[in-house]
This record gives sequence, structure tokens and C-alpha cells, in this order.
Amino acid sequence: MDSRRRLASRSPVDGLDRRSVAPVDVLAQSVGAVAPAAAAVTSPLLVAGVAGRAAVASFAVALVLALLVASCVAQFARRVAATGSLYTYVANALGARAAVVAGVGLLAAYGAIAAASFLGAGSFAALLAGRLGVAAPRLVGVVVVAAVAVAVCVALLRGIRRSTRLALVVEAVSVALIATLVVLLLVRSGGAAVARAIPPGDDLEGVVPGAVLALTAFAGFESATTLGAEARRPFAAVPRAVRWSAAVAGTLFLLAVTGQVAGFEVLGSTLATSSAPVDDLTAGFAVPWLAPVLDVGVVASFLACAVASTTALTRVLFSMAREGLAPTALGRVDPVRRSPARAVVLAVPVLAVPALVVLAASDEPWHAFETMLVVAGAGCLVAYTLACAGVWPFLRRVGEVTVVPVAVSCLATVLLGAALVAFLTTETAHAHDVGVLVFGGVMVAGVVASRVRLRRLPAVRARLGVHDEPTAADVLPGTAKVLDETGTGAGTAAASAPVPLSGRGRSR
Amino acid sequence: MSRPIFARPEVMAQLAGEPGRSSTVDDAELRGRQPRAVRSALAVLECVARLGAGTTAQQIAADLGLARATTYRLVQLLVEDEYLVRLADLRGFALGRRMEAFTTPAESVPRVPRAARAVLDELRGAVRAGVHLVLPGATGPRLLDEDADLPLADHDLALLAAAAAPPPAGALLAPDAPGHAAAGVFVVPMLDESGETVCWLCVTAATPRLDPAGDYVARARAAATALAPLLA
Repeated sequence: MDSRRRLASRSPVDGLDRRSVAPVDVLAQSVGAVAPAAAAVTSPLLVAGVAGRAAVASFAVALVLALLVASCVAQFARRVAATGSLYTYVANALGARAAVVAGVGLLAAYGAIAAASFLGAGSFAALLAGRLGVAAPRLVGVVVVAAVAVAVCVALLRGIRRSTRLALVVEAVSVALIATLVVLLLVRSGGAAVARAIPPGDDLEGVVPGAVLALTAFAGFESATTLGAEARRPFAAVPRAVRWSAAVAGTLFLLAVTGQVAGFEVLGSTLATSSAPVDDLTAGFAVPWLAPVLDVGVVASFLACAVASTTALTRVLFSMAREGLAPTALGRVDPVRRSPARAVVLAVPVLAVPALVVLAASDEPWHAFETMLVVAGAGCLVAYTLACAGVWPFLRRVGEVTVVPVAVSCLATVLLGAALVAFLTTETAHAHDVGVLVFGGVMVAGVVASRVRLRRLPAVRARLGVHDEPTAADVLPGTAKVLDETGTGAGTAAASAPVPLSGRGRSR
Repeated sequence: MSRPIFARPEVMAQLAGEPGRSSTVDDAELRGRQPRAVRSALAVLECVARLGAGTTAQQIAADLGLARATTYRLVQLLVEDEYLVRLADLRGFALGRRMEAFTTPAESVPRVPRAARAVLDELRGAVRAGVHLVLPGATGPRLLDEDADLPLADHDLALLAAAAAPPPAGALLAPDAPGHAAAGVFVVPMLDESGETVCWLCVTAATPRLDPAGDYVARARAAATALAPLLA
């Protein structure tokens, strides 16, 4: 069939720095968005709050769930070089309606993760300033949020290679600091306390809500899928990054929660009843100097998270803009740096302002922080569920159905759907109903706005799900026909410029 | 005289860009089903070449009589390594640009005509720098004519390989690899009448640093103008 053999003269997501990001930086995007160091400090306490002694078991179950999702996401990532992550995948699998829901969920999630990381960086900086005896710690927090926002803006505008490398270095430092604490806790607690920390004991029924909450700590591990166009050898690098980041983050979470539970066991207390576990543990184990060092690590982790989640958010917006679903200005790319400059300049202030307001107005930023995490968790769960549900239709569409991926995706869809319902119920019951309401409001507003736009512009519906496509530069010369700018067939691949695959796409 | 870069394995590794770990054969001997997998992978490539661009994985499986799951996995691996390309409809496949190395072996580097060699010799006599003709290609640049007195250093080749896309005319490739901070390669692309890059004229420093004020810029541009019609 001739139409299938034709190649576009340029990719629909042309303009980004195509095929430029090294595999390790693709991994950094996913790991950075999870912010494992920051999450390892903040989320064991939250999980222990609902799961009690089942906290370790909850994280183990959550890791299995995350690996199931990673396996489903990999089915897409091996076949589609997307810039819109799960949104693009769902559009190619389940069509426009489901895609809009997944897209709004994903935007809500990345937006909330970014907002939470701005707030987290400011809060932990304020905490650190308080420890060091600075007179106005909240002012320090506000200044740090502003500084992080500027850093994110500059990094993202300077291009994808700079920003992913920044996330990689910063996250590596923070993970090393957290790992130090965890190893210290595990060693000082001793084998007996660690062995007692692992079984759930009487709190077996806490595993379900605990695992769901723990799963939201993984939110962002799929975000390497926004680099489909920009990654070098994306069909190998992106699925690997998604699986590895789930494994890396999950391992760190498991060690951290085990260390914290065991540490409290040795101190004769419990994790769930502590209000500041890191402070209690470092004081209890007579290493108070470690607390401020860890604060620095957590601030660094939130910085990496802000960079990575804003990167992911702007890529999803970029994809929507290229399709016409979002304003086309958001799809415009800086011709030199090849970053989606408009989307960055618009998104960063919007995401940083809530953190500034909360820090300036209140001494208790944690309620707002948890609200943001609820939105992030729910948004991710919506997108994960739809992506897992889309595996089978997608494989049928590309004509590559096999038993194992379909079976895995069916299992994952059921588990994640249940997890989403359980999450929203648990959070409503645990007085985070503000987060659930905000999430519901964002979803309804986003979906309605998108549906209205799709109805007004029917042509956009057919364009949903654009992804990086091979051009004449990618195939063996002479093997496929090339479409010229007007869409009529013209010449063969050999007639176009011999830009090798690793070359950069031309700007729009 | 032209010396094929393929004669220098360590440079080849650099020029391959990032040598895919999955594409290098392990030293361990091939065991079990591995020989069959290698044969099947090559058969898949041959099948796509025979059936043409747009061939689907199902067609490949049917044509070769392979199990579907095996075929999808092989196709997947070949796409990851970019020997195959999945087309925009997500069903069909075409041979990737990486296969170009198989169809245009090193020996097929075209011979430089005598008139062009004369222009090169004149330039080599006039500037205190290495003068080379380099062929840009999907698998990395290939040497068409190397300056025998001042051969290309490995780090210069790495710079050229890094400049995957044809550099803008008269570009002074800024070395960003640490350790070669003082290096530099001056590149003038030569275009044919359709604007396609035929070849690069590269000037490399004889001293550790390429003097930015040197007269090689004007001379190299003039030589490139003279060479373009001889090589196109």
C-alpha cells in the first residue's frame, strides 16, 4: 500500500532537539520526577499513618504495582516515540475521549508534582533556616521558591540536555545523602529490629490503603515517555528508563521505610505517631548533625523534581498544542535552544505562585503540600489506568498482539482501577477531601474545555496522538517515498538532505 | 592518500557515535538458540528489504514461517538498534538509515579526481594546517582524502563525528569534549546544484590551536569553490 510507505518530510513534533538526550539523562528525567530522596523522607510517614505496621508491606505491594504499570507503559514506549507521554499513548489506543481524560489527568499530575516540589523546596529550606537559627525562616523559604523557579526556567529554556543533566546531578547527590541515613539506620538498628519491621503483623488490612498511597509516591516514573522525540535511540532508552526508575525508586523507598520503622522500633516508639520522623530518628540515634544535611538533600531532590516535572508538563502541553487541542503558541519552539519556550515561560510562574502564597501566608505548609500530592496521585492513577487499559487495543491496532502483555495489562487495569477508587475514598475519609475536590474540579474543567474545543474544531480530533515520525533522514535511502511540504509525493528518500538519524531536526 | 577509517578500529568505535552495547557481540561463544536467533534477525531484515517499506510484523512472520511472538521480539530489537524503522502508521517497517553501512562499504569511497587532488595539494602547500576531504554519512564521517603530512588526530575525528548534521558553512567546530579544549576543526561543506552536501573540506590545526586569524579561512573557501564542481 503506497500511502503507508510514504514518509513525511518532517516529524509532526519537529523543532525539539531530536535524538539528542543520552540514555542516562532519560533515566534522570524519570527518576527526577519521582524525587525518590524527597519521597523517601516524606512518604513513609504518610503511609504509616494509614497502614500502621503494614508500611513496609505496603511499599512492597506498591513496587509490584509500579512494575506492572512500567511493563504496560513499555509496550507503548517501544513502539511510539511520544512527546505527550501516556496521553499520546491513550490517544493512539483508545481514541479522543479517553485521551482527553488521560491528558487532563496527566497535566494535573505533573502540574501538582511541580507545584508540590516548589512548595517542598521552600518548606524544607525554611525548616533548615529554622535549625540554623535564621531570624525569618519563612522569608528564606519564599526566596528559595523564587530561586528554584528561576533555576527551573533557565534550565528548561537552555535546552533539554542541560535540564536533564541538572536533574541527574542534583538527584544523584540527594539520593546519596538519603542512602547514607538509611544505611546508618539499618546498621544501627540491627538485624533483629529490621526483621521485626517487615511483617505487617496485626495491621494486615492496612496494606490496601497503604499500598495505594505508596503507589502515588512513584508518580512521575513514567515521565521519560515525554522524551520520545528527544531521546537518543528512544525505543530502547525510554522503556528501560521507565522500568529502571520504578525499580530504583521502589528499592530506595523499601529500604527507607524499613530503616525508619526499625529505627523507631529500637527507640521504643512507632513511625506512625511521630510528627517529624527524620528529626526524631537523627536525635534518637545521636547524629543530630545529619538532620540539616538531609534537609539540604531533600531541597536538592525537590529542585530536580521541579525540573523534571516541569519538563514533562511542557512536553505534554507541547504535544496538545501541535495537535491543536491546546493553544498553538504552546507548541512553539525556541529555534536555537529547541526548547518549548512559550510553554515553559507560561507554566513555571503558574506552578510556583501557589507555593509562594502558601509559604508567605502560613506556618503550616504541609496541609497544602498533601493536597497537591493527592491531586498528583489521583491524576497519575487515572492516566496509568487508561494506559494499561489501552495496551490490548493498541497492540491490536499495530497488529502485534501476544498473550503475555495482554494478560499483564488486564491485571494491571483491574488493580489500578481499584487503586484509584480506593485512593479517592481513603483520601476523602482522611480529611484530604480538599485535594479530592481540587482534583475533581480540575478534571471536570479540563475535560469539558477539551470536549468543547474538539466539537468546535473537528479536524483536531483526527490529529490527537501525534508522535515523532520517521523522516527521510531515518530510513535507508531509496526505500520509501517522501511527501513534500504540500503533502504530494515527491521523489524518494535519497533526494532529501542526508541528515543522519542522530542529527537534529530542522526547526519550524 | 586516502586511508579508510575502517583500518583503525579504535577510531571506528568513536565514529559509530555511541556504540550500542546491544549491537556488539559478546565474546562468549554463541550457545543454545542464539545462532538461530541471529539467523532469524538477518532473515527479518532480508524480508523487509524484499517486501519493501510498509511490511508489517504479521507479514514478516507469515513470510518467514516464524512464530509471531518471536518475530515481534526480533522486530522490536532491530527497531531499538535502528536497523529497522517503524513507520508513522505504527504497523509497517522500513530498513533504517543504519543499514546504509551495509550497502555502501568502506571500499566504495569514491576516488578523488586528479584535478581535485591538484587543488588540494595547492592548498596544502599554502596553509600551515592539515587539509582533508571528508564524506559525511549516516554511519559517521568517512575520510575521502587525508593529509599525509598532518593526518587527522583521533580527537578531530571525534569532533567531526559529533557534528552529525552537516555544519553551517565556515563553521569552526567548538570542541566541548574536555581534554581537547584547544583543538579545532574548520569545516567548509561543498554543495551540489541541488544544495545537497557532497563532501566536507576540513582544515585541522598543525599546532595545538587553530589560529582564528589565520589565512586558511579565505584560502579554504576558495579551494572549496574550486573543488565543488570537480566532486559533485
